[in-house]
Amino acid sequence: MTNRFRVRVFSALLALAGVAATVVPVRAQDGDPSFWFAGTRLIFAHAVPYDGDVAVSVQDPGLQRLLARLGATLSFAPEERYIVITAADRRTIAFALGSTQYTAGGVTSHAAFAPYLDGNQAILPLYALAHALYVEPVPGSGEMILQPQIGALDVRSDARRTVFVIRGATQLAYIKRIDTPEHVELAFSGVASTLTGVRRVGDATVDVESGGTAKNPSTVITFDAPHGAHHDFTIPASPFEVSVVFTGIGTADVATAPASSAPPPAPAAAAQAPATMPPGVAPPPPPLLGGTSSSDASAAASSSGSPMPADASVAPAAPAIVTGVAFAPDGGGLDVRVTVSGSANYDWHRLADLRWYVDIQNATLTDAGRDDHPDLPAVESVRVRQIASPAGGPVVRIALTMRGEKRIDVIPAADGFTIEATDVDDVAAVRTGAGRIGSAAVDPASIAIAPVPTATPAAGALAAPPGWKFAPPVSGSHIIVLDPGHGGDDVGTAHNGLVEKYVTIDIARRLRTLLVAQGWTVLMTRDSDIDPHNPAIIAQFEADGKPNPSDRAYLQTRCDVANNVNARLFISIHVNYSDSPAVNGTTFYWYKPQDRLLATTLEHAVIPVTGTNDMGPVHENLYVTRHTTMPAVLVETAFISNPHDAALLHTPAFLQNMAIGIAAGVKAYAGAPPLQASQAAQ
Amino acid sequence: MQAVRVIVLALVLVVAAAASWWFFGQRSEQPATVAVYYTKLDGTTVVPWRVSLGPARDPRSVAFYAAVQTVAGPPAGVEAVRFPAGTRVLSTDLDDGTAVVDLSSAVGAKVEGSFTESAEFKALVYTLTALPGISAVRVHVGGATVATLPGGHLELDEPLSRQSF
Repeated sequence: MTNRFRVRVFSALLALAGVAATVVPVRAQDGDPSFWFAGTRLIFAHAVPYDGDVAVSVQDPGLQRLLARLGATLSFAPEERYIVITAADRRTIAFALGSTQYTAGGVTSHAAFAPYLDGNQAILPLYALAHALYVEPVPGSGEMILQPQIGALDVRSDARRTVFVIRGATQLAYIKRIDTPEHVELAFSGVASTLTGVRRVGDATVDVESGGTAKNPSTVITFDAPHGAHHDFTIPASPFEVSVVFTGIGTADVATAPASSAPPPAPAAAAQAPATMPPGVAPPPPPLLGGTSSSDASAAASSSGSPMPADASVAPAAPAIVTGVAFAPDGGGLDVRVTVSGSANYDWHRLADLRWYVDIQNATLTDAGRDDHPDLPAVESVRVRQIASPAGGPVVRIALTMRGEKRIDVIPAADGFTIEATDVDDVAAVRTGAGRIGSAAVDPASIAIAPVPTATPAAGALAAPPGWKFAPPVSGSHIIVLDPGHGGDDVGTAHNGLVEKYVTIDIARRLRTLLVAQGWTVLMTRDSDIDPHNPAIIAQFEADGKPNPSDRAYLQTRCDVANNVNARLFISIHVNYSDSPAVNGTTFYWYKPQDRLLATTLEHAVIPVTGTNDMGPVHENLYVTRHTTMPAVLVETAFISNPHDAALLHTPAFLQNMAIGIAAGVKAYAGAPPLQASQAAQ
Repeated sequence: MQAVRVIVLALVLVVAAAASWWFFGQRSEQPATVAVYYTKLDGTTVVPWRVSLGPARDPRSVAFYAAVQTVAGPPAGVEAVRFPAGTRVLSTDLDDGTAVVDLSSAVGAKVEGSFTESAEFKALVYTLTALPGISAVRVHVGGATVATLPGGHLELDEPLSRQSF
C-alpha cells in the first residue's frame, strides 16, 4: 500500500513537472545566464534570455555595475516612457517602452524586443544596450562574455592637420610599440574592435587589427604617414578616448580598404568642395571613389573636367546663409532665385525620374523649408529643405520635380544664382554641374563634383548613411538649433516698451555667434521677423484629421528644423509674463526625460551670469520641448511684466550675458562639438 | 427558550444591518465641499481650498462647479496666478475618466508666457483630477480643440494630467 502510494505521488510529480516545462514562458527556458566582463564576473539578480537578447531590469545591480564600469548613467522614472542612458562619450541612448526602436547618438537601431514594464521596473534588452555602449556579446564556454570594443575612430582634417580620436567602451590602456614621427603603433589591452581593416586618410593609412582571446582581447592600431609627417598626442576629453594629431598627411579624404570580413565600401556621397580653399586654387586631384553609372560618370566628367574628392573634410567654416528663395513663374516654367550670404559651393544633379536638385554645401536656411506645387506646365513641385550632408554638415537642398525632360539652367550671380526651369524639352540635358558663390569666386569648371547618384532621398530626408563607417554616424550631432520664440504676426507678449519677438531673436542671434565660436553649426528656426510654417505640415495634419492643423503646424515647423537634421540640442528662447508685476526670474522648461539634465545645466550656467531670480527647471507640457526628438529646453529668460526684469531686457549687456550663460551651459552639457566622422565604416 | 433566543438574535442582526445601511449610505454621498486648487505666484506650487457645493451632486455637475470655481480663482487678496479676466467655463463633460472642459475664448485673448499658462492649467487639472473617477482633463476653447492658445506654448490638444506638470 505504501509503495503504491509513493509511486502515485512520484507519478503525479512527474506529470506536474512535465506540465510546468510546457507552460513556463519561453523567456525562462534557458535559466539565468552568467556574464563575464573585463576581468570580472557580472552577477545579475535576474537576467532572462528573451528573443535572442537578454531581459534585465534597469534596477538590476549587475546592470548598474556594468554601466558604472562603462561610465554611463541611466535615467528612468516609473511614470515615464523613455529610458535614457548617457554614455561616457556624451552620446544619448534612448529606449522607449513598447518600441523596439532605440537611438544611440542620433542613430536609430532596432532591439530584439521592446522594453517593457514589470511592476515599476523597466526591462531592457541587455545586448542592444551593450552594443550601443560599444560592448559586444561573445559566446564563451558556458557563459556569455561582454567584450569591450574600440567602437569609434573619428577623423577630422583641415589644411594643417588631421585629428584621430579613438573611443573605447572602457577606459583605454595602451602601450606605444612604435613611436616615430611618421609611424605609430598603439597596442590596446582588454578591448577588441569591430573596426578592423585598413583605411587611407589623405596620404596616411590606419590599420586596425584585433586579436587575443574572448576574455582578454587586444587591438593594435597602426598609423603610417609619409616621410615628413609627424604626430603628437593630445590630452583626450576623457579616459575613454585617445587622440592623435598628425600634420603633413594631406587632406583627409578617406579611402577605404576594408578587411575581407568588412562590408564593401559605399558609393561616394555628395561632393563638398573645401570651403576654405584659397581663391583660384583648384582642389587637389584625389582618387575617385565609389561607383557610378557610366552615363553619370561621363556626364560628370564632361561638365566638370575633373573628379572631386568625395566627402572632402574641411575645417569648420562659418556656414553661408541662404537668405532667400523666391519663385517667379516664367512662361510655362519657373525661375527660382536663390540669394546667399557668404561663400558656398553648390552642385546640381538631374536624376532619371524627372527630379532635379541643387545642394548648397555648408549653408543654412534662414527660413523654414517649404513645399510648393505651382500650377505650371513644366514644373510639378518645388521643395526647399535644410538637410545634413553625410559628414553632418548643413546643406540647403532645392529640389524640383519636372513634368518631363525639360531644360534647366543655373545662372550664377554675385549673391547666389537663379535656377531657370523652362518648358523647353531637352532630352539630352546635362545631368550635373557645380558652381561657387561668394567673393572668392572660381571658375566653376575647376570645381569638380562627385559622381552623381542615380537616386537621391527626397528633399528633407537625411542623406543615406554610408555603407561602412570609421565611427558610428554622427549625422547632425554637431548641429544646435535655436528657436527664437514667436515672430511675424505672433508678437508674443508685449509690455514695458518691449515686444517678445524682438527680444527673443536678439538673444538668439547673440547666442548663435557664441556657439559658432565654440565650433557648433547653428540653425535658427527663424532669422527674421516671421512665424515659420510649412504648408506641407498643415496639409499633413489636415490629412491626419488633426484639429487646428495650422496652429499646430507653426510649432511643428520649428521642431522639424531640429528633427530633420537630428540636431544635438534644441533651445527655444522666450520672455515670460505674469499678471503680477512682482514675479521675476529665469525659468528652464523641460518635458522629456533627456531634457532634464540640459535644463539643470543651463540653470547652473545662466543664473550666476545674469543674476536673475532662479525660477529653476520646471517640468511642463510645452509643445516644442515635447515634439523635438533631442534634448530640448525652453528658456524663459526674464519677466517682461516685472519692472526690474524689463529694465534688464532693455539692456544689450543683459541680453549678451543671457547668451553667454546659455552658451556656457551648452558647453558644460555637451562639451565641444564632436569630431565629424569623415567617412564611416560599418 | 431557544426560540426566543433565535428571535432576539435575528432582531439584533436586523437592527445592526439597518444601522450600517444608514451610516454608510450617508457617508457615500458627495461631500458638502469640494477642493479647488490655485497656483501660487511661484508658478508651480498648487494650494487647495474648499468651497461649498451646490445642490447638484452628480459627478458632471460637481466637475462643472469645481472648474468654475478654479477659473474664478481664490478670494481676492490671495496671491495666485489667475485666469484672464472674462474667462468662463462654457461646459464640462465626463468621458471615461477624462473631464472635457470648454473654456470661453477669453482665455486666449492675451498672449502670456509659459509661466502664466502653466500655472492656470495646472490649477484646473489638479482641481478636476482630485474628483473621484477623473484622471485627465481635455481643454477646449470656444467649443473647439486647440493645439495651443494663440501664441501659446502649452500643448492643449492632448488630455492633461498631473504628470503633464
